[in-house]
Amino acid sequence: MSAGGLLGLVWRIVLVTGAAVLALVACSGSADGVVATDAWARPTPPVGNTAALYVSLKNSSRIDDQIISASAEVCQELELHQTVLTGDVSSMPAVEADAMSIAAGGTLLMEPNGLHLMCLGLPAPLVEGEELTLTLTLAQAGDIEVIVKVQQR
Amino acid sequence: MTVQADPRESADQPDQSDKVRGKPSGLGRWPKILLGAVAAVLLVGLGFRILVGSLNPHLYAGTVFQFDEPAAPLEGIYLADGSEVDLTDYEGELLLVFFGYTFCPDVCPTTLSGAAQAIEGLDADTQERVNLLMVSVDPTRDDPETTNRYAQFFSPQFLGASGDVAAIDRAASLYGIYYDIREPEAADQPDNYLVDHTATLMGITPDGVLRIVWPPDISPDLLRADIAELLS
Ligand SMILES: [Cu+2]
Repeated sequence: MSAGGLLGLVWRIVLVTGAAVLALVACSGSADGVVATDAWARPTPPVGNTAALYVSLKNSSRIDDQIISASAEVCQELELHQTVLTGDVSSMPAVEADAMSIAAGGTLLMEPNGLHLMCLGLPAPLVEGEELTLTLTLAQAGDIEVIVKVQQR
Repeated sequence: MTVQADPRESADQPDQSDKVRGKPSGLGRWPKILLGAVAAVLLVGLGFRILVGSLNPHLYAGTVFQFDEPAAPLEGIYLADGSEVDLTDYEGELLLVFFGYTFCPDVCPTTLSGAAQAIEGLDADTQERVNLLMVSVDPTRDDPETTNRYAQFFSPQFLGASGDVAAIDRAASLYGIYYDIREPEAADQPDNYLVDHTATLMGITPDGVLRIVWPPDISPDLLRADIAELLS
């Protein structure tokens, strides 16, 4: 093995170790760095089997965070979507990575006709007063559980 | 001068008790003056409002059209009871028309619950003269019964209707509605697909004319004010 190759390997080890240490520090330091400030969903009609969940997340840590995935037991599929009104035409593209990020000290706001978690394949309608449990996996804070309240707004 | 001052001082002396007793009435004058001032301001304000109200007609939040063509008939679009939608049924009342679909998770529930809130805030007589018809842009998943159940969830006053692809295409083009049925997101769930669509709320006035269009994110308060004006 050449000197250059060896140096490259050493660097790689240093980088990987560094990243692992950083990840550990991040996990221990900001386990509760991201909290849901508001989590709700409208009651849903007896037909169609979709719902939109609106969760606002505040990141009080000093590290930017990002939603990696989301799941809820009642949703066959749960996707982060952005409602986009182009003129008066509405479409719901899956969001770009930067829309899932929560800047350090910042808040990610989900709201009707905007960013939302789209729940597909609901086995039964959501009823006013119910609560459902949502699990969000964040790059830094790890898994957080959020209680989503079903309420008319 | 001093001569004049002297009798006053002497005259004031016995009055002092009067003055003390008079003090409350002296202070009591201030609330009356304040009350008068407030009343005057209110009157001027009211007068101003009436003046402005008569000079400035209602400013519609929706886009108002200035033509008198009757709204296009919704041929081949059926209600849950099996009858074809007949726009003449709603003459003399306001008919709100919305194109949407029942698997729509965000825009449609937002618009329909906003419309329901707007209508609930109207006085009872006006409420009775408002109708809402949701026309599906998803002929495969939404038959008239399904669309109607969806619409009625938001208000028992709302109606849902649907038709075959040809009828929906025609209705959409006559009402300036764009819609595009997207590919299912997962191949193993062919029923889970989205539909892009124009999400405006349209108003056919009591004279049968499609007179006004509201944007999808219209606030219930602005919508209510426009409806009240259209039916006044
Ligand atoms: Cu969506």
